[in-house]
Amino acid sequence: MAQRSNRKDPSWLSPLLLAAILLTLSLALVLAYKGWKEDRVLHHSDQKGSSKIIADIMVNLSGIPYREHCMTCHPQGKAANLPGQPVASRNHPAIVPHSMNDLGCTGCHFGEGMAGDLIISHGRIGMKSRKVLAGENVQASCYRCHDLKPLPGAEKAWEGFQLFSMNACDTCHNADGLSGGIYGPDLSAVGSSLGLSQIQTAINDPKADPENSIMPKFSLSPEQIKAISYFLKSRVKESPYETPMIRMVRLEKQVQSIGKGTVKVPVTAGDILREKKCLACHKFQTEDGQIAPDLSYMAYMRDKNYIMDFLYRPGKRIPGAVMPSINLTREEEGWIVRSLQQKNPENHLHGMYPRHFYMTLCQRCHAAKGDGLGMIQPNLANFPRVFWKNGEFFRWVPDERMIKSIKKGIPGTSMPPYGELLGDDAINSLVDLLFRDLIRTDRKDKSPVPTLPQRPAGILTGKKVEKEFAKYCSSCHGVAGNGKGPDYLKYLPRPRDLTNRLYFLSLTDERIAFSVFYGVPGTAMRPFASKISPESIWSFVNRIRELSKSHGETSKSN
Amino acid sequence: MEKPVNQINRREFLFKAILYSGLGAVAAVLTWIFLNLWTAASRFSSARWVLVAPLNRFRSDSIVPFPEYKIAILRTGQKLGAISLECTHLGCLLNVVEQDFFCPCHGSDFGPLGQVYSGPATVSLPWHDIMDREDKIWVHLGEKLKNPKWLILEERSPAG
Amino acid sequence: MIRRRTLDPSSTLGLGIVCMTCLLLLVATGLSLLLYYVPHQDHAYERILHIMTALKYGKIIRNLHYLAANVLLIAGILHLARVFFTGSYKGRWLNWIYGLFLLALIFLSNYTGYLLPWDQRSYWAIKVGSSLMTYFPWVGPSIKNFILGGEEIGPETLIRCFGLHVAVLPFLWTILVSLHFWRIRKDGGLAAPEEEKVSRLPSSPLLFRAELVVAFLTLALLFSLSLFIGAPLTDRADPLHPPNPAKAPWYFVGIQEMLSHSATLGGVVIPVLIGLFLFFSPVIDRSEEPGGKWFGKGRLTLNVLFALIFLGQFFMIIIGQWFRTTNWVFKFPWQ
Repeated sequence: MAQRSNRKDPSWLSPLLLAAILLTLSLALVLAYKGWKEDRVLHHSDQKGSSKIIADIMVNLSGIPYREHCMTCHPQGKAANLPGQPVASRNHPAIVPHSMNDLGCTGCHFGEGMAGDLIISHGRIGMKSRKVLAGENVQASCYRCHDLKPLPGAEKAWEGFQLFSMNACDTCHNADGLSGGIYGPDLSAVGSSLGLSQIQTAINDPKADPENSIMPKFSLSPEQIKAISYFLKSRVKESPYETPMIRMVRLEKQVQSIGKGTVKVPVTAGDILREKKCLACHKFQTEDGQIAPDLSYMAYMRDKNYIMDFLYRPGKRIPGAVMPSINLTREEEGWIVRSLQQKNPENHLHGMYPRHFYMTLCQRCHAAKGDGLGMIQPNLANFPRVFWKNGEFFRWVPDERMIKSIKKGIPGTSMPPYGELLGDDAINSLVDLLFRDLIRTDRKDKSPVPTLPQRPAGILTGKKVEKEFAKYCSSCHGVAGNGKGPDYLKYLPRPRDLTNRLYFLSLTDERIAFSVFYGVPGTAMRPFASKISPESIWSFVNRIRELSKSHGETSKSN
Repeated sequence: MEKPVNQINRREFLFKAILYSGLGAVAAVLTWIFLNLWTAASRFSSARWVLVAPLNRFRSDSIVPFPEYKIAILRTGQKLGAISLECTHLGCLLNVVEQDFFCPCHGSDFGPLGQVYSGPATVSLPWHDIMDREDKIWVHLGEKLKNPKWLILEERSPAG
Repeated sequence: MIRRRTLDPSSTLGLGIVCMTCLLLLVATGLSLLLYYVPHQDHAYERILHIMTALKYGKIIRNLHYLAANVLLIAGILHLARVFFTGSYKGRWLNWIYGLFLLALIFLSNYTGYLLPWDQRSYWAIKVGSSLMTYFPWVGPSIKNFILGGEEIGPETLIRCFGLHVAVLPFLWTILVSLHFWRIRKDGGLAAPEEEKVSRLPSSPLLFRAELVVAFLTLALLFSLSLFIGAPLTDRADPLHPPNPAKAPWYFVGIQEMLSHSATLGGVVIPVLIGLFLFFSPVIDRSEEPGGKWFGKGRLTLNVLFALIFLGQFFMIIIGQWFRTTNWVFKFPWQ
């Protein structure tokens, strides 16, 4: 074998191989030790006499098998014995007639029964929908199985259920048998998806996620929110103690019992409004939901047809209104209209100072400071006009137009006509007040209105106009012109909904063109005169007419 | 003795032709069977007609959602259509707010005919096939259509 | 008998053996996990929980499975890069194709395995990944329906992914790996330039020892990684509550990023072009450089092109994975 003696084997090969094997071996031993150690710690099998067996139990709740390891660390539901800590003797409270061996642990406490560590077994990961309920929070589970009736030990959860309907939550949300609304997500299984604190955050801060949520922030105390969350947490996908048939019977019973109790004869005007949960949002006389406009003076502002239209479909009179349609019988509708149309001479704002008018009627939307950030502003489809130091805007508004806005209201928006409620004198002194205290300019200080460029004879249409409109307008006003462009959340006041027919019917073409040319002070609408040709701007006016379907109509006086 | 070259070639050729085409045919048939089996799943689950509601449920100009089927039935005038209520972004169930469809998951906004107004969704809502049998509305789940399929109602006495 | 340079680490970096070792570890750990897993949407998550917590050494085995899968993907791509940059595919187009199919198998195995824990991360990653597929014209929706077992992700999907992951794909793996290795031997060992003086060494024990070195070093790497990187597990899958943002698995998040800029260009055209380029590069390559030489000058254009593609995709993955937050808005991760 002549080759063998000439050959030079790489000398590093064998030592390297030995080193590699040793390295791998040591790491494998480390892994083996680590796994063994973790196993011991997890199952406390270092304590003398303690079992190395994992408490693997299977309970069968109405046909659904639940396998659990909870009792490995919590024997018979006791507080866990952690190594290195004194032996805990806190026993599980008596829960007769429930039995731990029949129900297991996760049926009441959630958590992940098949885990064996601290974090996952207590459900502290991800959306935390299975986060362990302990102490006071356990009652959030009761109504997973039990009928919605008062239950000793679940008082807060029962209170939560009552608050849910009292605060008109079911007008937008459906929650399992309470024939609810469709404006908001269906909450029939929310307990399976969200943890307790997430539900509480969703109620406490609805516009956190998603940002363009229309859910108002209801004025509820933290304890009330907690109670509602206990009720909602019990709305789960599969009840652990019901077959589908039992569930169906339960739902039918619930709907029937809730349907009872309609008002036979209204005692005071406030009763029907409270029965149908109007006052959960609206104000009427002394009761106030703090979410929606004040209905106390409806009788002086809107006629019967308006109210009935509004009840049937709010968006018809105020496009973009977040008020849901309410299910009403003919009778109930009649009562509501009658309640709202009652003119109570004591309610009439007689002999009040302008500031009192403002604080009673205007402050709710326009705010005491006049900056438009009134209490109910987040829930209005159109931002209330900014008065505070907005002289630039009002310098261009003729006095008559301002008085008209107050007297006749602004169609398509929440601004109602105050003409009948306040007399001409009162309105006049109110306008004085606005200029003096809020707008902070002289009422007579009117700038000469800039002239508009000539309107071209022909109407410009076509692809070019559409493209320009998309380029300049759609980032705020949206591709469809409904005010919901990709950037719209950045601006307050929000961009105008250009499809609001009622509103644009009340404007002349000149006024629309004016806003585009010279902008609207107090808002993010900037002047486009320098950026776009006058012909294009007039074509935008046409486009707006098309979008709002308000062609050929102009108001008489501007 | 010499065999005529042509004849031998023809016989061999014929034999080979039959052989290969026979093999090819067997392969084709087996492939057909297997392919059908592998793609059969889409014939189950959601591809079916469901009875949604009787016709008188849909009064004039309404949007009625059916969350269990993830569809909504729209009526405008005498036309009835079935639009999908599954957000084209990540499949959440949409809410019906006024005439628009709104997604509670990430805020996608769709117009009355499913066109995208805003939001992470970029594709407009698909439609479902709809039919009317004996005054009951049936909707075909499963296959989604890009353009709306309208069901025209004939003039009837009080249907709403 | 092998050439001397076969034992030289710099000739191949041993990446092929790294891949093989990862694969063997995946098979060993996978077969173990198979004893405890149930592919049913009501049970899968709890089974994984059981493996991760109560089962002795379950966590380690699952961690190794997860790490080996990702290291296999990375090593496979690096192996592809090495073969490309050394032009070793010269005259070996068939084996190159086998290699590309193996890479496709890596992606498929990763993808089908991703869904099996049935937690939020898995479910939504597969949801996004499957909708990425629908952008391919004609075949996209059909492939998506095939993998999903229907229109949506449900029990069928889990059964399918499981079946593909533990049976169909391993079967294909076996065939392709065998063919891949066999062709190497048939083509005369590693590609190498012609040598003046041929000095050969016996493959036994030398080559085997060299391969074992690489194998054990790979195992050492995987074991040490498993000491501080764990297989992730989030909460149970909830089809009603997508997280925001929902991201595809990391190896597809580059495509998701490209798609967010342009649906046809990013989602379809570029991947197809890259695929075609890779497939046909041995044919396109007309240089005189012999196989086995790193960065041969005659292959400069091709090398540069490959490097650009590689870096581009790498960049896309980085952006998609770490620079995108809610609603796919760009955000620096340190903010």
